[in-house]
Amino acid sequence: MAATIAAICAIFFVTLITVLADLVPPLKDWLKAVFTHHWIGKGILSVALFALLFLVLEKTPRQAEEGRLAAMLRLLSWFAVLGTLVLFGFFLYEAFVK
Amino acid sequence: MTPLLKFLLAAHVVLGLLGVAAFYAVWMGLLRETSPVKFLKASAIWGVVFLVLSWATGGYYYATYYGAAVRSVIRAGQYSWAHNVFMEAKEHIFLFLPFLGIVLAVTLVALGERIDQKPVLKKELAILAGVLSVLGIFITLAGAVISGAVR
Repeated sequence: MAATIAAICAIFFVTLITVLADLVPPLKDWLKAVFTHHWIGKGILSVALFALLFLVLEKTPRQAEEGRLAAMLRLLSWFAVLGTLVLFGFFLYEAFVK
Repeated sequence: MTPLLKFLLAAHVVLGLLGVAAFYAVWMGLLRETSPVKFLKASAIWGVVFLVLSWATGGYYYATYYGAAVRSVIRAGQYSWAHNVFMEAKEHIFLFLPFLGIVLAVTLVALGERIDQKPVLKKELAILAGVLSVLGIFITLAGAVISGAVR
């Protein structure tokens, strides 16, 4: 369960920071300044977020519930599909409409 | 391009394909009535290893060479959309894959032999493995589009 929730948050974060960094140049500049490349920054930050959430949630006592884990796995699949559509749509918009 | 960069680019492609193939095998294995549990666990773990190595090799090539030498060539040509749409989407959507793979590997290892007694979980894991495989195939095809645009 911890890994699934952490992955949902990491995918949401990657999608959000990718769109935001293109719309808000100072954010992209900050990523470049700190991590040498904006894409490296997004990768490092998403891994750090995933690892942190995984460790915190893994230590949080909760009842192991099959139904809840299944729902979280379904949510993760949806986040991956929607994140893909958002990013692909965003770059299509940036390339042909903006 | 230096021999090291050529090697890293080739390794990125091969390792990425191996990663996608490993999770495609997990997807197909989970669709079977009786799951080959040992195979599923091994395939998911190897899939994560391949994806992380593909990330590292491709990332080094992308950060040190692509931006300076390849991106400008594509953007100056008639297929600038190959970078502006496909490369931009590919490099970011790729970041989803290791997380999806880790979830599959961790859950399969935790469930072990009990997977066939939990049909709801098994179905959701199969869907997740399918999503990972389809995204992996999309990323592979996007890579082919980008390579074609350089030529």
